[in-house]
Amino acid sequence: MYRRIPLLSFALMLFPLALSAAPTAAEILASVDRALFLESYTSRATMVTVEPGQEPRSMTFESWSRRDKGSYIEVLSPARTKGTRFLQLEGSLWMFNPRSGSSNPIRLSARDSFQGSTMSNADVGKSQFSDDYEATATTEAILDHAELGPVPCFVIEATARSADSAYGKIVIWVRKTDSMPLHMEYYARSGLLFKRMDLMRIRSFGAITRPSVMRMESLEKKGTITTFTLESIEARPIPDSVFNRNWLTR
Amino acid sequence: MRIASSRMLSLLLACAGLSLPVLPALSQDVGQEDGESQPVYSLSGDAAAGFILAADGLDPAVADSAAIVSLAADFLHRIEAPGWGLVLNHSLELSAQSATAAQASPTMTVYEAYIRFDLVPDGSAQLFLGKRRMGLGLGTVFAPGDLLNPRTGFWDQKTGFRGLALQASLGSDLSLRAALGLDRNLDATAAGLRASAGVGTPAEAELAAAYAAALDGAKGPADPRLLTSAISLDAQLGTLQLAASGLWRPDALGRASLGLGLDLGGVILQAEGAAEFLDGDASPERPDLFGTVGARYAWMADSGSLSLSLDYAYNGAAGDQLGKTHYLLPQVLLSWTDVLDLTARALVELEGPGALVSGLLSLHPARNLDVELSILASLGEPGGDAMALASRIPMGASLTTAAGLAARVHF
Repeated sequence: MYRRIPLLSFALMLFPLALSAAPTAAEILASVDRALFLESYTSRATMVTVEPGQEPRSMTFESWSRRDKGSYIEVLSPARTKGTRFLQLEGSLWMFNPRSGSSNPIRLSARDSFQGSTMSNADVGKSQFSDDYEATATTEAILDHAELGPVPCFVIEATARSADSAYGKIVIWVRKTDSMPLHMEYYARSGLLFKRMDLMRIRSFGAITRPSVMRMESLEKKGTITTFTLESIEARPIPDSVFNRNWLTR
Repeated sequence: MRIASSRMLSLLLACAGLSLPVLPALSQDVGQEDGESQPVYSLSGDAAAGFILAADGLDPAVADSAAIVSLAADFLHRIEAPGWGLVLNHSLELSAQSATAAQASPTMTVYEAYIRFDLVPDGSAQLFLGKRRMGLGLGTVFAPGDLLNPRTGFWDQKTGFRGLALQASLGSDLSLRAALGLDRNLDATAAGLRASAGVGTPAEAELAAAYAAALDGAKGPADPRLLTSAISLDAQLGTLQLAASGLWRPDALGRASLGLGLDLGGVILQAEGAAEFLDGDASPERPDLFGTVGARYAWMADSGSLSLSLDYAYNGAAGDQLGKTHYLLPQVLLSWTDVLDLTARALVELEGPGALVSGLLSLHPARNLDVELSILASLGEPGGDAMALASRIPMGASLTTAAGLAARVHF
């Protein structure tokens, strides 16, 4: 699916770009963060997980995110988990179900599965990659994208900054023309590639342009795929108070 | 309130089932697309039907039945609006030993009913009025300082306290909460009204005694000595969680507690201690001490999770929230996404010995349908107070030895 092209050919093809300084890996990762995670925004998304031999499972939720704070998520459906709330802050993730009869949020692990999907809690609640990963290397490649065809990309390796990160390493294919991320590969600390994600259907939500469909495939459980579809996204200021555990139990 | 069971059944079914297609429409009417300027109403909950087979706790006059049949529904209504919010969390239940179904009495329990006002535009300081759940300290099983609204079951089950609460977010990592509990004032007011209404009746003396007991030495229902006040400071310092709280009722209760929680790569350790300075024989010079330590770990995979926890509680030399001094609470939670959930818990008294064991197997045959099989059993010779901590079983009954089967629909 992805082919590396001879370095010389690639260099000739991109000669005009070479006149300007090539971006560093850190700069590309920062541009990925800008493309996927706005400074402050709300969004609504539906996540569908398909497993062999089981009925598809879907979940719709709203999220409030701020790059400097974290994310707050509230489940809208299905009915069994409706109203369940998640709060991701730096270094911690909390869940609270107002129907549980409890008054205290429960602390979760960032690397665990988000509600039985192939996505981790960190994948859903993350407010930027740069917090947890350090871009360590850059190469260039042509990505055969399912919708866009061959796309010249930067390929960056983002390595976990600490043992608390959900993955050991993430390799990200970033479209050169506009720094739009199109494909990601997730590695365990052992070096095992165990998930990959395709980002598709780039569309505009008002002034915001970004992939609206993210399809994550588990390589550990063959045939298990979670598709995350962004239904709406809006840039807006979110107060500090949302990113406090008191907001979960309000 | 007592109405014919058939009429109540119709009412329950109407509330639990027939309202399903109606309420979302109501939600759309009350809310607005942008959700910015209009209040938005939402409803979630579940309705269950089932029966409980019990070894004890049944009406001995009903010799032909060892089962309790029950219909129940839980509702969580929310209205969210800029600057305020409203929550009503309640249940409706109709249960009876099968042969006496015609005499069944419906009950409605309100767990929470409060209004929230944002004191500043960004919502970082909020005032709550009404009945609301509130936990002091870190513990979700035992928390020795958590007496404003103490637990009523195994696992952080609370019925709420009545009064005022204030909470303020001091940044993302620090929050301050304060509360004024009016439960005793309101109970005394109600007892006083009943006593006034009972003057000249055969029950006059009994009602007057109940009023005197509710006052507990106070001059009247408005006496500040019946008030309970609490303050709590919660902080998150990286992987370290800290909670400090204080609770005070004049001449009756003075308790300070401190809790620490630490996330060690997924293993969460918690320790919490409290000192009581006023209750019973306690004094500032010789406080009663309480404490708890616990650990929990959750292992999760793509389609399931297994969570294990173990807590120990030192319940004070003379007993505190329970009757004995030393307790253990092991717990196992197994979840296989969209297939089943299994919960097993035990409250073990280390003196005695005795234990209260609860198990709940919940199967999910359809998207919003659960089939639940539950058991509750007392082993050995548990103390009476421990038995009061009967786990929440599907129909909400508090029996000491029982098994239940129920179907539950979420909406």
